[in-house]
Amino acid sequence: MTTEVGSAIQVNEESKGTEADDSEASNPDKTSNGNEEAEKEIQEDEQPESTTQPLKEQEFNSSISDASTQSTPSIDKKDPTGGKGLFRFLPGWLKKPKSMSQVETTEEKEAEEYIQTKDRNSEDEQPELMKSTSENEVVKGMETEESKTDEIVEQHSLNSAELQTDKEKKPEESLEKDADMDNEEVVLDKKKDENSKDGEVWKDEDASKKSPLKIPKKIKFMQSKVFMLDGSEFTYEIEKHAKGQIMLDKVCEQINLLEKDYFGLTFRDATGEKNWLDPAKEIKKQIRSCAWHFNFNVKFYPPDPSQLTEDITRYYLCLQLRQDIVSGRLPCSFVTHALLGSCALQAELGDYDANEHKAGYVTELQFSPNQTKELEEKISELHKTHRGLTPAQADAQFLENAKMLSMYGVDLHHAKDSEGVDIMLGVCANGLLIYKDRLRINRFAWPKILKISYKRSNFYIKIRPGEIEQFESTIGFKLPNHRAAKRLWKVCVEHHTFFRLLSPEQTPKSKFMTLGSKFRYSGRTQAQTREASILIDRPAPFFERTSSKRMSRSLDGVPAGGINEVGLQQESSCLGSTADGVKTEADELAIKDITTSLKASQLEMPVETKTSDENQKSEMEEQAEVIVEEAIVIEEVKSAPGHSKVKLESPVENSSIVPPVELAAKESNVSSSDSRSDSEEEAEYHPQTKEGENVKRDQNECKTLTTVAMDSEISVTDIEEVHFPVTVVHKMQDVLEEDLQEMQNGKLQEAKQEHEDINPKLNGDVSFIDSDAMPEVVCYAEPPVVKTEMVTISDTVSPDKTEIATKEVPIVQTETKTITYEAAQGDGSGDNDPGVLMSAQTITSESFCQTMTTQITKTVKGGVSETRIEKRIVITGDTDIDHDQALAQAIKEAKEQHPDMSVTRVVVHKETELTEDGDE
Amino acid sequence: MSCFGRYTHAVVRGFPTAVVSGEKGEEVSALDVAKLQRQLGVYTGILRQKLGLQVVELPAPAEGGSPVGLRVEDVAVVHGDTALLTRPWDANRRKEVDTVKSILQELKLRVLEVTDETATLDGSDVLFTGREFFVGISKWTNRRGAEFVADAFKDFTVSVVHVPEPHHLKSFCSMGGPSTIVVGSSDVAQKTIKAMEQLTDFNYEKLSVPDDAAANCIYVRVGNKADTLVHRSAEEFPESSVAFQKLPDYSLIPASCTEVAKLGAALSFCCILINKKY
Repeated sequence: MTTEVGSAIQVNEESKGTEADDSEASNPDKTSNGNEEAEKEIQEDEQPESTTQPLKEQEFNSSISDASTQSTPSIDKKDPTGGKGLFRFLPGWLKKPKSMSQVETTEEKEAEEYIQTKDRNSEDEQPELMKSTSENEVVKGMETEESKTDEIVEQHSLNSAELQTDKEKKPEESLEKDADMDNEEVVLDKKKDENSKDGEVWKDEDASKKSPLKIPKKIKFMQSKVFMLDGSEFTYEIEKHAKGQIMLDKVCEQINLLEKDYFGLTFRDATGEKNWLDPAKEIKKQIRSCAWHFNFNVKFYPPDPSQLTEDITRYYLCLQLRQDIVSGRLPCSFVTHALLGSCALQAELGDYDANEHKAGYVTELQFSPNQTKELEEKISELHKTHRGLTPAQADAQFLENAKMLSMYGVDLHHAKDSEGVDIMLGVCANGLLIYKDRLRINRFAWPKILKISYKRSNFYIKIRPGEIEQFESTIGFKLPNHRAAKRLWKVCVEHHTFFRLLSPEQTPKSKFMTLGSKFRYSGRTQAQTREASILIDRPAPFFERTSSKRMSRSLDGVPAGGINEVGLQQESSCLGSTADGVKTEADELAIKDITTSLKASQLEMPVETKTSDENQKSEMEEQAEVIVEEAIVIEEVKSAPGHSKVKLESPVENSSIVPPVELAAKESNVSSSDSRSDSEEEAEYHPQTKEGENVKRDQNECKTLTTVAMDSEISVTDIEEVHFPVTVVHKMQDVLEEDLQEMQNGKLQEAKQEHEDINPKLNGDVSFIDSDAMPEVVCYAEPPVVKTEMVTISDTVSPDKTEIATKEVPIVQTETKTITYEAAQGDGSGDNDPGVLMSAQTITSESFCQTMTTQITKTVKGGVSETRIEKRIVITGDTDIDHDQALAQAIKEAKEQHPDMSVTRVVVHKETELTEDGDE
Repeated sequence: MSCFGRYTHAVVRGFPTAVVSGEKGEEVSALDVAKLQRQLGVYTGILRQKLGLQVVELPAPAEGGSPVGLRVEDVAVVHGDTALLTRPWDANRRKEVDTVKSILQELKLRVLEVTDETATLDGSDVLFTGREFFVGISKWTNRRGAEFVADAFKDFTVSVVHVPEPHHLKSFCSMGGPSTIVVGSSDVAQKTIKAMEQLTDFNYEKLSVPDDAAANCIYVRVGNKADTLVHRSAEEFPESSVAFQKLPDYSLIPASCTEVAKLGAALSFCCILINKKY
């Protein structure tokens, strides 16, 4: 933890920004890709090549940051002055208590600088030369700031390149826990070796880095260990400032898991509590001084595992559940225990074989914390009845039984109720469950909860008025400590988002007057991951189910699972920062009553704002009182059915109407630092804010997904001849599968799932529709419609050319360049010939109200090469938009762009959100 | 779940010849013993012939037995292969447990017992819906007792609802089908069902009947998916028995138990249903 590390990373991040920007400039289509695309790149980039590893790493990072930029375009691009922009005007010491270690300060600055760079880049869209100039400026500024830092803390004051290099040789390096993997020279050399198309850029940067003003690039790697569910252990070299997602991606890649949204990594903090690694945040800042040891776990237990697409996903869910059972987290009766054990046995050993499976063979596998002879006999007896089940079937049967268990997927947290009685809070897919001992005493389904918040060690839920209660009521629970409260709050936010929303809520802007944590779940929701995984198109990956023996061992070694893992009643903590320590004391003083908690916050504020002036302190107190108003404002804003664009603007209006609140908002921005800080005292979350817009039921949004598949025949179809027969009405998760097969003209086809190895069909690559990722989507209010229909259309090819009168300029710009038009392909006669996939390319572009993804594939079939272009156009809007017209327009445009190709198939997937019931 | 309502055996208890006053002692005098015996006979006949169950008749308690002893449901909670012997609140009734225990052991069930001295549990406060348990916290059943239900049936959620004094949970509700709860119309009954709705993860249909007592029925699946409901006769509760007509494709079997009712019992109280083919 030295300054020098920080500065090295600064350069790193700058280059990230530059690279991202560069790629934007060179390939404008790339910018509009969603996360999906970025992830694909990551996978490509990640091919293990030892020599180029560090550079690869960087690319990897940059594409990640690129992706994150993309996913929240409104923050960085639309709104450069708001949000983090404000941040840069603040000196580092304002953002964090002085008592925080110096590293923290540096980090803040880094972030600041990074944002600055990004801001400039995105605002100006400068040519590259200009950019490097601006970078220089940034660096200069940075150095000045850093020297200020040096005044504060003398011992880590090495900024310049020379000094840094010197320091590298010093043993102080070993202060870092990780083995320092690289040094500057090595990195640079490797970069020069790199022959990628980015080579130029890199050299450029190298040159600039060698200038005396530049701080040399240096990437540090941390050795991290991941304990897998099957008891194996993976070791990775992770870039020190990498985000959690990178590690999760690495793990999932290693085990060949595509449906990774259900999974996560956990780590133990200094108090031994299990925490989820936030994929969106830097690993280092989350685990602090703890060892980089992680467990790979199921984070969101799918209520219906049969809806998972791949067997391998089910396998890992099985492993997790077996661990849950062995650890006692998932209690089950003797019979169920035996049944589950026998399914696991069948999956792992196959059919019972009297010769092979001698007495006691069950003993080798561990199923229960206290495995009795009786249980083993019963397991063996049931094992014999599973004869003929494949491992995948056995897993499926395991899950069918396990999902019925009452504690399936329930994440338990110790708490006390308002009367100080020990209870357990269980977070699950459906809501929040309250247990006393083993009895359920209350249950709050997500739709009943208006707001989730925490304040110090208190956790609150605000309940929608119901039949019994006439008014909104707030129920408070006392958690063992502040961190436990925050942990519970985060888990609630995540579960609510994952299971109830269609797409993640945007991170609250600073102008949203939230205090404290701005944490939001930023991964895919269940709806999105289902949509994405339905498009998984690969042969079932091979994997071996031989885990049990290792698993039992690992469970001894790793203190994973176990009921006692849930909140030990520790009040004291050994967090690195003194500020937190003080807060913990405040926790102990904390008043259990809600009404007095404001006073408590006053008591505590000095801790938070110790370094800032008195004015601010008083305003903070004021702000604490405003909070209720804020909540109302936000709710009003959000309940207005509208789109993200609307959403972004409304708060501004509101806050200008209510100036004091706006002031408070700014203050909150100052005081609460950003989501990186773990010292937030409180935060709130409105589970209902997305209702009518993003929640699975009561949808106001209407999306039309149009797919136009073209193939290389020279003819243009008359739009008027396109028919729109409704062939399938089905649920959302059965999202249409893209079929690139040529179709017999005029023939209807139902979309069905095919694998590439059977047919040269390619699944479309737009795997989910994330309205948040589309900055320009228009959406109006619409009465909730509960239906999803899929229309499959094959048009009749008419040889006569249609006059096309387009109102708009064609929006897809680059795909025509990449088409390699080889030969005209006949009709669909070659259906059964798998062909050889030569190349596949995906381009995404966005326009006013639609997103178009173009998939170009080249296949060779019997010596004839064939190019197929598949366009997937997502039109988002409400019923006011004439979707038929939009579709016609889309087809027209597609034909216009590819006059030498014919439209062979049009698949319309019209989506007007479904109810939750339909979903389950 | 699919086997909800399927049973092979029923345990009943005869009425003691020598009646000693117990909890409901004062009411015993009002009993028409002959009528009670007759109704009990019809009841056992229904179990045996109409529902096709193998009926195990426990001997009527010898001298000193309490007439409430015929409420066998109170002393054991049975689901699947597991039987939990209860610890009745009424200390006089605890010896009833022993006789039931031996029968259940003979039937090769996993027999568990409430071992805690502070726990009280009456089986008629336990409603099993096929997917979860509800335990009424009442005069006769406390939380500690409910915890034993949770321990015995770990696969299932055990939720607790409060039931005010004169009632057992099943005094005003019972299962009328795999996902149907029959419930009385009194305030207590409606309040309790609301609490249950709040607690459950599942959706149940609710069949409200005008009379609380009529809401206690016995749902059994006979043969190949023939929903059968034993309910209180039209003579006793004319309005409620009309309500049962709403159940589609059910065989409805009316049974009178006016005399048993004087002992605070209802239809389901008088038998323990067991499925050995679980």
